[in-house]
Amino acid sequence: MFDRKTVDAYKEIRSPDRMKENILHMYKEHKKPSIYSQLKPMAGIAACFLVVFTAAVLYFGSNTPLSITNYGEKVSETPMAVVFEDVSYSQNTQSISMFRIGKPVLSCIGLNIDTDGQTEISVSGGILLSYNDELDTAFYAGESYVIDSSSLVYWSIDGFSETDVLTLHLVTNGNTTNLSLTYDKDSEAWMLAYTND
Amino acid sequence: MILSADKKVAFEIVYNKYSNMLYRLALSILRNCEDAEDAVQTVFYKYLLKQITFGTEEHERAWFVRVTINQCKDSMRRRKIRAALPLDEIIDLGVYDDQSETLSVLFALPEKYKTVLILYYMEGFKVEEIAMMVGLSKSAVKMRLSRGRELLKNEL
Repeated sequence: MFDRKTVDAYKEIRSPDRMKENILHMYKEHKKPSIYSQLKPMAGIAACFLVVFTAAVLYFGSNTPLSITNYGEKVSETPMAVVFEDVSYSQNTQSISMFRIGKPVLSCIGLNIDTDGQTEISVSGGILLSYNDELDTAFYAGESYVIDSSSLVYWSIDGFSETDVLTLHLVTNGNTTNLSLTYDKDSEAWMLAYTND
Repeated sequence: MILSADKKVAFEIVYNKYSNMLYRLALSILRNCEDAEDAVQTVFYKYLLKQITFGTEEHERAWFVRVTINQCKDSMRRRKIRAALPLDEIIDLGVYDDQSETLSVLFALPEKYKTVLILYYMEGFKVEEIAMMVGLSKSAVKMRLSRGRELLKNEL
């Protein structure tokens, strides 16, 4: 597509020398706000939140999934762009014959799920891969599996188009948490967020 | 804030590894030297502030590329930047005269096509790696490469 000279010419473009010093200067100038100054105006609000939180814990129980992260970014109600990574699938599985041949590589969304109690996970589409030291297992849509501590799961959506809406379901002690995965044309990325559906 | 010695060493390593690549990428998207510089500075500043650790080098690289692309898009949204990088400015950057026209055409392509073309042809990443960096499936990256090649051929 491009000849060697064009690639070399492109790579001749280098960042300005001053940039590194500018970054270090920006960091040096950044002031960490004191804990006291942050806490003082927030004390009243925090007290209210404490009451609401305590009530919520009493109502819903304490074993709901605590947090779900992708690449260190915590999933919330605000849609966030997810990062895909390639996962080489190595073990045989009870349900997917294609995985018995060779070691296919799937483009997946890695999700770190921190939970206090047993949580049943399933997806509306794609393949869920659970990874631990002993067994790598794949689950299709409609199947589910259970985690009982902090776990890393991979969600492959290969084959789905940008118009599809996919859901990840988590059930802990009868409480359901849903996350929706949709493609956002503006940011040209798959976006994940908690949903009330 | 004071940067500890070990964090400064870690910063120097990632800066030396990625700064030129990210600057070139930001320049191709924003087509303006100052804005590209601002965008890349912000990316490294975020890295320092968040003190992010990565499991593998692939994750680290994907994070930097991903955040740079997002930062550039954010800059474009906020500042309404649509400034074209003129040929003479590309030559000033050290790009040879014969190649400046090709690069100028490449930089003028829509962002979604030129980003994958640059990562694939200029930076030499594999489709799988680009998919991870831009948050798309491999088939979507291949589609963009194909469409980007067509657009480029039509323009050159």
